[in-house]
Amino acid sequence: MTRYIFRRLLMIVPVLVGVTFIVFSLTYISPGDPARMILPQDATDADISHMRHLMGLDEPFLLQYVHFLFGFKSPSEDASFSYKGLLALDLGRSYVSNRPVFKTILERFPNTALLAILALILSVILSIPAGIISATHQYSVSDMVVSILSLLGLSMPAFWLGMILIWIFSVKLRIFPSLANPANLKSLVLPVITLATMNTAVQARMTRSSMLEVIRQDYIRTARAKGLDEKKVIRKHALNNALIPVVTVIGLQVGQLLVGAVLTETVFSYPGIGTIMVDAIQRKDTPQILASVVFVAIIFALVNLIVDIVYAFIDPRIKAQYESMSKARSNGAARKGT
Amino acid sequence: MEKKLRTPHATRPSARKSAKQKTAFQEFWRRFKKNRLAVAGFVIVVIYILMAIFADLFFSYDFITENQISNAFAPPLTTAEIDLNNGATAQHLYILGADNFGRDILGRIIHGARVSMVIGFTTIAFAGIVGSALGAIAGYYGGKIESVIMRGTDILLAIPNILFALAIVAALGPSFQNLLLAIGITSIPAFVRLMRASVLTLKNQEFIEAARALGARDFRIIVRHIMPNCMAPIIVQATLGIAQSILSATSLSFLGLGIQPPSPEWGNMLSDARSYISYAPHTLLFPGLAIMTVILAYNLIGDGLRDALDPKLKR
Amino acid sequence: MSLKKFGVAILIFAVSIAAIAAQTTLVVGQATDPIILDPPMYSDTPTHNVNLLIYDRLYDLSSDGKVVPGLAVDLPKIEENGTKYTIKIKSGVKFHNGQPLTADDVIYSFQRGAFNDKSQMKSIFAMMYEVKKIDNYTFQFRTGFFDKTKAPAGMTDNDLKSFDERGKYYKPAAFGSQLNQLTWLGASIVSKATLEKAQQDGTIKDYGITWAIGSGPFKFDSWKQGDSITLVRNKEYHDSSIQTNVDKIIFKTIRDPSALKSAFLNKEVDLIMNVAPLDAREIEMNGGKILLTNGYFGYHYLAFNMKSPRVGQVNTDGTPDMDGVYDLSSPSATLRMAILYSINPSDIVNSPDIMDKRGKVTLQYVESLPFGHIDDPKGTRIEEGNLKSGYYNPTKAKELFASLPESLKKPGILKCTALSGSVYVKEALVVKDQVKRTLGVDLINIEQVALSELATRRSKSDPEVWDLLVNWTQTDDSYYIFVAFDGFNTSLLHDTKFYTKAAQEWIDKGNSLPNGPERNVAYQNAQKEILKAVPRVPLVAIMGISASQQNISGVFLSPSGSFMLDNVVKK
Repeated sequence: MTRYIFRRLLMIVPVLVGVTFIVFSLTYISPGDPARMILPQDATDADISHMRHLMGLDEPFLLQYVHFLFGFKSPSEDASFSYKGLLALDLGRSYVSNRPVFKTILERFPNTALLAILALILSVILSIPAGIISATHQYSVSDMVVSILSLLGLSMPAFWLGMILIWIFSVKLRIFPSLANPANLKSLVLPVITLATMNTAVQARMTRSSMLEVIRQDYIRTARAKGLDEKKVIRKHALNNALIPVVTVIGLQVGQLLVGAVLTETVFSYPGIGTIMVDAIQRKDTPQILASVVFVAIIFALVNLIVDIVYAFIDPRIKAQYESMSKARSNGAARKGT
Repeated sequence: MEKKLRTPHATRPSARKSAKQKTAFQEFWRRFKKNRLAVAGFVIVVIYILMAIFADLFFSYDFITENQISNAFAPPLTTAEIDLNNGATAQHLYILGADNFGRDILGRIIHGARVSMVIGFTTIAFAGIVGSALGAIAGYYGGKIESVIMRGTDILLAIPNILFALAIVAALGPSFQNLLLAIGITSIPAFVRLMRASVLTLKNQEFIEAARALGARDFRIIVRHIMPNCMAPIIVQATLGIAQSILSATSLSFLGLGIQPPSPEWGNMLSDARSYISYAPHTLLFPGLAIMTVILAYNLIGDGLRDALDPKLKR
Repeated sequence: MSLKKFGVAILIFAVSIAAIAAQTTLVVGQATDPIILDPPMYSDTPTHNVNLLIYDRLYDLSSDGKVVPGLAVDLPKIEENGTKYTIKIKSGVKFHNGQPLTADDVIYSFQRGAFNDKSQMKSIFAMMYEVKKIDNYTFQFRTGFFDKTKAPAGMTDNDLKSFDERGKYYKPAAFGSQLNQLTWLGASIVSKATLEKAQQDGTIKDYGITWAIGSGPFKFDSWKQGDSITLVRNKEYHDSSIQTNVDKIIFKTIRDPSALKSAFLNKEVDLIMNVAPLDAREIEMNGGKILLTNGYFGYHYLAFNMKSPRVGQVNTDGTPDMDGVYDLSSPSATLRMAILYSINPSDIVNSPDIMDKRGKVTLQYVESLPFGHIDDPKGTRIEEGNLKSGYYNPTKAKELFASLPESLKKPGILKCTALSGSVYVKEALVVKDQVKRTLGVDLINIEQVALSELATRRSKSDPEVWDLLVNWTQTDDSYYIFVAFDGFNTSLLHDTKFYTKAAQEWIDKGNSLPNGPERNVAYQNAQKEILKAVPRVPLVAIMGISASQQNISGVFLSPSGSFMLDNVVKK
């Protein structure tokens, strides 16, 4: 098992390098010269090339990428041009606010995480029971309702749903505020619903189909044939097995939630990482764009990693598979040795 | 001429296959037809496609992009005077109301269908072709090529779709082409994975080995023998992928990074509508409904196709 | 502990609880975060609103545009044909950290505003030199120009890095707007001792972000980036005549305008700035107070990038013609005129989404303030237009357009940049639509750009593409015509870089005269000259619209549209 985890950890390294490289290249090819952006309009070409030198923009592409990872020491006396690199969570300062970009991100990330976690909890609470009821009462009215609602949830753009909720609950009924703030729990109700809808739909569908599949398995039939109480069969035998794929989906959704927050945060102007990103893009604030995209991508990758590992722990099949695989491999190695 | 050169051995399996395919298709269609929701989805999509093709018959593009400031925010079913370009005026019925510039919302939704359909089909056609080719190569050849392709896919998958599209558009600037590129690229990995998985299961089956033994070239094997047998999951993925593409495009436009006004696009219609929730909810409601129905329709078709193509999931 | 002591402790505790509870907090909603709380470094409206409270200036503008003393004791003594200023400042004023405010701080602040690399307010101090301390509370400066004949060859004004150095190469010249400019936020006074110390220990790099020291009625407390800035009352404020009962002001950033409005309607914020006209309607309906600026404070215009060779004039060698003589019969000028006659700005005024009739069509660049405003339209282009539809004249527009070579009639040949996500984008859309409908060709492509990008776009404008800029400026002082049209002015947003010799002479004359009727005539004449070539199509004049709750009083809007909160009272 530790071996599996170790291998999985190793695998993430090239992925992260790839991700950072792609995002970095994208900002590199993006038109618009940062040096010009921070200099006054009447700056001469000499001023600009000097500024490019101070900012390390005259270096070759790959070296700039190395700077991006491991830091850059500007020849300028102005310390704000130097940075310690992505590994030290320091990519310099925003062109607009002049604050260290990662400071802003780390300050706001907990807000996004809060929104995502609440949405996750809500979606799990709603989707799993709904999926189970739907599967155990196939073709009933409740199955129909769940299926239709989850299809609608799947098809509704989150930003539109958010605005519709604002229209109904803030403008018409005045029950919830239209702008969200982590300090005010009541204000989080609408964005959490907005963010959770898509996930609830996906998870309910997953639970339903997974449950249906399990119910048809032989051992459930056997349990039923033994005359066990239907509820007991579901609870004891079916549920555990059915939930394994559901847990994976939920795990994968955590990452999606963090990203989906971009749109939800924009609609509710919630001070999270999504609004940082949209702001930065609108203002062409390159360091802030770079930092926030890379940050979210890394968090996304890490969350998926954790999910994979947790999955390995809960799914006896993977565990067994891996153990037999490693046994086979060690046997093979032993044979080779002889 | 070429046909005659074929050995009977080589033709027989494919002939047998096409016969099998036909019955398979009939069987599929029979099953698909039984799923009423899926058929409904299919009908909706056809309606949208017709709308996209014949948009100009309903409203001219000029009309739906031109301002009629005095009719701004006219509620649904208002009849109002519009200013024609030749100095004359005419009466016009705003069935779904007017937007902030007094443009006809129904007209913009219909023309917006064209944009969304084009985005959906082109991005998925691109991603489907590129992704399937890569997946097939990876699955068929294995080894180094496979690990390069699959590591690349892992990296693409490690960046969440919408975020990656956002980064591409932010870097290259918002335009129609960049939007297509961004969404197209982000849709590739799903096809690579699917194709590779199917190829892996097929690769060692008898009819492939037979073809190989008969000296068929790799390209031919992949295109003639493997690909057709992997189509089912690819078609399902493509259908769901179109829904995803349309959703991504509208999301980006909503954030101001996609199609720019005055071009009609459902997402940018909503981006404007956000400020008018309290005065003119119709500007918010209808474009959103358009997005929702079309995505719902594709999802229904996708579900229907999956059930019909995959006997295991038969209800 | 005796019972008495215990009782006292309880009492103190209770009182302090009560004090905290009784604290009056004012919440101001703004659409964007301020940028930096360091006065000369940035000056958009949200930054303005906060900085106005943290910092003091020597002079302030009253709501009707008059200059009144702030830190200064009185209006300056101006001598030697308007080139020498002597200003006395109040004694006993203290910065928020207890440092006394003296003439040294004033000189340091001016020096910093004039020469710091990141300063965006250099223009305030552009003509200042020989800034001298007379005593702790008196200082003196001169105004003038760089004199090439005094300087060694190759030296330019930009090479001079202090007021003293300028003294060697400047020759005196009057600058009538200097006093008005000292009311600008960029002329705020910072603490010399504090900033010099910060320079040494490196904390200067966070100045205006995590800390800020001024002498104003409110002190910086904290800044949660993207969320809110908190200021607390400066109990030792030098001017005891201010009448606020507010202990704490929170500037809350709420990005989405509709969210900002809802927050106001739900009474989560007390004041909001820059209310969209459509929202103003709703706020009034729901019992909020609408605050308007005194007169029209801003002008929206369509600016042609005159520096771009194809828009302005081109010399035979392809370089832009900078001698200020424009050939008004050239194709590029004809196209400009065709566009002028194609646009009907009343669509912008009437659009509920843009101005909702809270504004008016304008025919000139300076509408309501006395300076430069043309009262008698005879002999100017103004005669051709009217206040209902501007210069709109489709017949003339089509005629002019028809005479152009085919190369200037292609769709999309004009690029119109507008600040992304702003109301200017909507105005640009109106302009695009009107040009297309009048001329029959969709000439204009709109490009949304970030503020930081505008400068890049303008200096690197593609010679193959013309640029139109929907932009605005505010006229909080007589200096507008100079800022907007002076051929040598290069500040960020005033980009037209339009220059004609005749207009420049009038501007120079206006600049050299003190506030008064003669000066008005000079600026009016400058505007007449500029209107001949129309480097900008004037579109609409706007009012600043803000909103406050009914229980708030004592707030007024400065002529530039910022909140003046010195006397705010919350019941």
